Amino acid sequence: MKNRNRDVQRIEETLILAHRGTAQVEPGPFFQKKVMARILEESASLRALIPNGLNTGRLVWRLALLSYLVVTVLAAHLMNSGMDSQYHISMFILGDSSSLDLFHTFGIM
Amino acid sequence: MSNSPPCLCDGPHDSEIISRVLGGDANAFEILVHRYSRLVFGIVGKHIPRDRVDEVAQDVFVEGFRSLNSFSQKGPFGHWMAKIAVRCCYDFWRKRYRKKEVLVSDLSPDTQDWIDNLLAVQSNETFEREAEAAEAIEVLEHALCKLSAEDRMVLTLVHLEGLPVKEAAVLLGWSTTAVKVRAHRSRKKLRRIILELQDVAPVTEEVIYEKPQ
Repeated sequence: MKNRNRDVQRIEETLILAHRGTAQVEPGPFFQKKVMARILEESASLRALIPNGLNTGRLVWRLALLSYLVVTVLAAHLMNSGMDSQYHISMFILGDSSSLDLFHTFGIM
Repeated sequence: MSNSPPCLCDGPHDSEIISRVLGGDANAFEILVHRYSRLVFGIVGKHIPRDRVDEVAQDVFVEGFRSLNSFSQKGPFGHWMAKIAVRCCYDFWRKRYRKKEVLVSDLSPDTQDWIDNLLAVQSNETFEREAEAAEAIEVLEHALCKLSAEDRMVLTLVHLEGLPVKEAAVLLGWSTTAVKVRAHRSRKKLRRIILELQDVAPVTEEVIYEKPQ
């Protein structure tokens, strides 16, 4: 058993030496050009996702989502209430429907 | 920015180039490719078959470019690239194992002679010469192909390259315990594969714990 263990250890050590002794792979003459071609392609596709080269794409989408949610909630609220929609919106925005009568008096709305 | 260690190479500092790249000058990345290609090839070449090294090294730089904004600049850029290189190698093997592209090739008849010669060798000089033989690499590749992607990576980093467990854990992004456990198991598997080659009975547990010098 001892001899077998020693043999296994010997083979293992040889494999470690073999691995450490392998010659390093050198980059080829066109490696840098190939990498840069891929990187510039990547950079162009990233820029295409960002309108006008500014990082505003995400902001625009967030605003659009927020507006959609506000309109949906407002519509759902109006559908569930029996009140006049004009009064209801003024209640919703101003918190006081009587202001609407005041606006009407002065001919604003 | 000022926390980053000084760059030991000519030309602009790494942090300066990184700022330029993040500012939209993708061409500036070429300086980093030139500066770190040897390092990346050095790492990738130890894990990946020679004919695929170029392709994986390219992936490493593309990945580095993509995630450049996540580079904290607390440590050297080379360390960060080394981590990406190791993880790209791991991904390479994981994909290949998933697609069942890793084939365990039959060993040539010469390898059995090589094993017999190796075990008969007495002097260190001859022993080193045996390690340089093509059969040694053939046996090593045969053994590594029988392991999983995880075992293969840990075995290569910890046992074959001799990296400390802590460093291997940082490179792989795993916990130290996970690397330690995996290193122990993968070494046990390697020894079992060597035993299969010799066609002898399994080794005892205490020998498995021995660390190569």
